[in-house]
Amino acid sequence: MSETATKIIPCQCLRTKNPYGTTPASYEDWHPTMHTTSTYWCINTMSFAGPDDHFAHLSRCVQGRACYQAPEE
Amino acid sequence: MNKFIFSDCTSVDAALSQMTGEAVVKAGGVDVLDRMKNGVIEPAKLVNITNIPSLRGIHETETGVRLGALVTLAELGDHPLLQSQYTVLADAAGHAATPQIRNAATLGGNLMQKVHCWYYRSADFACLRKGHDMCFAYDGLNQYHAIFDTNVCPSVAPSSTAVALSALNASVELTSAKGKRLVPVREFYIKPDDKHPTMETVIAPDELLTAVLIPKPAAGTRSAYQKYGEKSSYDWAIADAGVVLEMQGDVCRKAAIVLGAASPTPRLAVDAAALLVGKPITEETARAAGLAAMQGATPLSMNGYKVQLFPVAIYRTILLAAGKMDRDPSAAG
Amino acid sequence: MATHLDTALDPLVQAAAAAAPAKPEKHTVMMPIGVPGYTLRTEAREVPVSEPPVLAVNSELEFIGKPTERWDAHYKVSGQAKYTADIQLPGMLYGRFLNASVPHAKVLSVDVSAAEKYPGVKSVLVIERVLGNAELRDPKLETPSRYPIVRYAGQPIAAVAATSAHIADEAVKLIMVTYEEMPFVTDQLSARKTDSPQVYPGAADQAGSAGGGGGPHGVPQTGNVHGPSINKKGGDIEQGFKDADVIVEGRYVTQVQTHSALETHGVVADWKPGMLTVWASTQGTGSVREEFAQYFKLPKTQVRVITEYMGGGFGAKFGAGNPGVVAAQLSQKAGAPVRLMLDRKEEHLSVGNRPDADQIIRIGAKKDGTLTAIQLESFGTAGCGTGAGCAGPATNMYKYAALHTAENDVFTNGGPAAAFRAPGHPQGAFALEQAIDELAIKLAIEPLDLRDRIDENSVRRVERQVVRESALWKSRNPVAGADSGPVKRGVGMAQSVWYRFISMNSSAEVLVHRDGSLEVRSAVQDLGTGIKTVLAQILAEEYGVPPAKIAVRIGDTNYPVGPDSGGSVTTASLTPAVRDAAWQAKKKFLAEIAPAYGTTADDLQIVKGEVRSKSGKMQPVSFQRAAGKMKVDSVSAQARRIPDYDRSKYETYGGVSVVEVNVDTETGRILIPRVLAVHDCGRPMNPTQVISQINGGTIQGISYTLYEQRHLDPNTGLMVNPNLEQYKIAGSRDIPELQVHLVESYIGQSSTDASGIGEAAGIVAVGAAIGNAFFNATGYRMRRMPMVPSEVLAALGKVPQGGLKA
Repeated sequence: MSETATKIIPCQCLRTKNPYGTTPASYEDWHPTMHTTSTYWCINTMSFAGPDDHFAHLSRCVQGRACYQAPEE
Repeated sequence: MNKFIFSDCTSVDAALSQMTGEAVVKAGGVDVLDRMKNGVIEPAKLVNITNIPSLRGIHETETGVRLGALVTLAELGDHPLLQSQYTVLADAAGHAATPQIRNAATLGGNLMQKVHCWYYRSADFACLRKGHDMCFAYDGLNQYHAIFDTNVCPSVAPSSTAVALSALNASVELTSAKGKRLVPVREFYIKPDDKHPTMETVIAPDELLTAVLIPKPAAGTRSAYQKYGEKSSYDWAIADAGVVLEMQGDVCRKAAIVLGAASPTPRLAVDAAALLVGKPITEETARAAGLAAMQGATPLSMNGYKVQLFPVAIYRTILLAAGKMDRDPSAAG
Repeated sequence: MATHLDTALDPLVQAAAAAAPAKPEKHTVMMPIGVPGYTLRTEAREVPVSEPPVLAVNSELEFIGKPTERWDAHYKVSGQAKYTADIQLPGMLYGRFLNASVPHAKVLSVDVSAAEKYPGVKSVLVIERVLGNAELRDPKLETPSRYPIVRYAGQPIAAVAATSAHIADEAVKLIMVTYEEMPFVTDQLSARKTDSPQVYPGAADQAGSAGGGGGPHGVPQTGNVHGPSINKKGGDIEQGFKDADVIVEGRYVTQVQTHSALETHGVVADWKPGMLTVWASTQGTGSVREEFAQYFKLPKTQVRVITEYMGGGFGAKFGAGNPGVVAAQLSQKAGAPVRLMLDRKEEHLSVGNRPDADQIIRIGAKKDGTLTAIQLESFGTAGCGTGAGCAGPATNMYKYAALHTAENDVFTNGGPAAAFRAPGHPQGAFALEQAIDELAIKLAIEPLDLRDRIDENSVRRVERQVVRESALWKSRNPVAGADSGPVKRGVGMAQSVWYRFISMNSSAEVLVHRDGSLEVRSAVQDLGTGIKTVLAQILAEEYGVPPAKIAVRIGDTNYPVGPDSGGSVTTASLTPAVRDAAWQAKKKFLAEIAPAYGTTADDLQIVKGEVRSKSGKMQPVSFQRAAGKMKVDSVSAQARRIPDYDRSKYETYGGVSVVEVNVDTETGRILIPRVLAVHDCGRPMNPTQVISQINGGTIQGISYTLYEQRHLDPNTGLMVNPNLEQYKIAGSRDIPELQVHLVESYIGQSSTDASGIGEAAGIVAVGAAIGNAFFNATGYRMRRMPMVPSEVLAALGKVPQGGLKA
């Protein structure tokens, strides 16, 4: 991916497995290295789909989704 | 796994008296426990026959050899007499499964094991062979299935010792309270038919397989078995062949060729064997026999490759039996 | 720009650097750099003054870098090692899942009344949707229901906990589920068709876009295809192909592989007021604790995770997972600890796999081998999840003028993928490295020579030289398909690549006790790679005590936080923290005993297990005797990972695998007599264990390439081989003679200068190396996995030859 200029504020329930193990949303600069091979899950459902039955992914778990929860300050 | 009664027997009579209702006979337990763990069968009672001394032992007799039903595959594979005079059987038993399984698995159990079709072996599929009304393999994943006799249930004969014993024209001894009877291995297995798709052998519910009798081979007899899998370790055959040749000098006087993974029961390739008779065994005659064995094959959607593979398994095993080729490194086990 | 290799943007490294208290004072030290025997030299590094002295190269050390027996080997082989499944607690219950029997459905009802009444059942749980405050505003969305949509057969629906495993098995069968079945698709090619059943509702109905236009990454979606994710590097791709003298193109297809670790996923959860204790088979005790705390809204102080031993994960065991939270909920409900281990079938179905791949790769090159363009389009299915990209090798292995990759995830009704040993890379390298081989043949340049021209990595260059001088490579006939008989011999090579990632979440404590015993503590878990042994070696080196005498306490979140074991980070991340702690504890120890010897800490040192005075104020005494002079029972120091010394250096790990094959062109069997693996992993901390990992990766790669495949029945969507009998894994006879040649490579990045090996080890390169050896043997290219006889015969049968024509 080449366009990542926009700051990503993913849902606080999104988790991913990347080369560091897992990344919680609490890390400010949410940069999922190698994201085309990263797998995602929702901590609310402990599954590949969120509570709204749609898949969890960095491109989807963003503001506007019904089940989106902004990271706590 | 369901709850069940474990009936441990120390004599054939005791075992026969326990074989009532839904009882299932357990010897080494390899196949029975596998099906129980997968939920394919839920027997109310297991009749354990492993502690019956009279079912053990390999005995040379005047007419041949008598093998107790509880002889293990490892014992068959390691036995000097079998290795030299009944090579096809020692080969088949000695290269089955894994050393651990060969130490536990018995000859009787190996002959009585159920087919290994992955639809049959899963409780998720209510298939024809389990008494339901549909075969999932026809339009499903059938790469390991039969290329002959595919009209009812195209699962393949699982027992490699059955292939060898069929080639040797051995018989099984079936014992019931009424007495004993001998059935040739070649007639022991039943091709699945529409009326009785679940029946695999002629054994009656009150009968116990107690022994296998193999006739003494004629002078000049040589034999071999080889199986081919996708792996070299612990794999089911995708092609195999048991070959028994009666040689007079360089010329073949009599031949038997049996295939296992080609059809639901061990398949005697009569026409192929006939091509060898009266001729010296050469690569050319062996290859011709291999090709002849495929006449009438009706492969399924995913197993056409077996029609290419079997002739190779057959010609190489004929040459191995005739002493014209070493054991094939491509063969499994 | 998020490339596949962008450690400079690593958020953890940056966050940690920013959070560091004050800028530490630095000084310049000279560190060994390069490969002994080839390129060894020293280079200056700016290093915090608090760091221990520079560690010499392995040949000058006593314990680090020496073949060392696995620290816990005798516990493992004697059965004393307690894995999660061995944990027995008073009153412990046995958990069991009920899983979906259909691949795609709405769950209409779940009736657990019979299960609840079954004698011995203590708690029953139905997995329900947890919408919280969220409102489903879009009426086009799937009808809301109490239960999650079933998207693959095997998806957990409910669970029970009972007083015995048998009761749990029986009770779970009594749970009645009614489904409204939906159309499904299980294979990737069908799922890509426009008329395929949809695994998720169409893009227009996506919840994510309902509130205003997808995410920042903006990955498009058409039907089941989530993608492409496009990456462009260098110049214009079309110009690159115009500039090429030679172009090779090929389509490569690989299958779904399941992780099949010996130990299945599972936990023992013990929920007590004020403390949730979890024994987990995990690669990341920290990640498990984080997720339990988050899911149950508990402070981290009330969650303890223990993983003293675990039986493999290969990337699939992170976080609490469904089994974890379900076991904890069952435990909470029942008021008793619950053990929930998946069975082998569940392990195949629901907790991860390596996605398949269907790739078209196109490479353009000049006559001299210079790559002008690499173009890759890939499709892969991670089941109902995402993560099937595989452009890593094409992006990062060689230099090129232009790169264009387009990766697509294809949704199918299969279990979701999980990270699996070098995610995306075995698939990607299978295509790339065979295409490079094809290019070498077209250009009439030796495969090793071509790579010398296009690969800038200096360590790989040394590795190719080792290969060039090997007997195996010298025995290779460069003419493809030269053998006349039905069995044809070939030799082929391919390279692997992986990257240096560091987890800053790495710390340890080292204690020196008055009886002379030494102890190291970290929450890190031993995935099976042997980190315990390496930690013992580090203390051994600092104190001159044999590794077997060091107490290694790990796998418990009560200890200082350790890294998750993913991305081959563990050794590279943790060992510097351990050495720093060992060194700092040693300084404290020497200060503690110095008064007793009438001297100061600066005057004392530990050499070969003895405490010695530099000025001769005392006779040397054994470390243990000196420890007796301590006035407290123990001294300790805790240290955390500091960032790599010079992060401007761009590091990859990798190696060259050489495979010998015998291809039986009549039976279609591929036999592999020998493999030579020439690998680097920075400083090998324990060569015995590094070689073990390369052996393991090579075997896993062979197994993947030749045998393994998840088979989903197209008509029912069920897996037909969810076991280890029909899911075929290499057995003892399938394993070749393995020769591993380790290339020591110093990079000057930390106090141990250790690197990683797990993912670079074998599995990335082996598939392509087998493919290249197959071509060398037969003159035909094998572009599909697994290379079972039916596939091999089909590949050979394209040309009439030897009566094999299909």
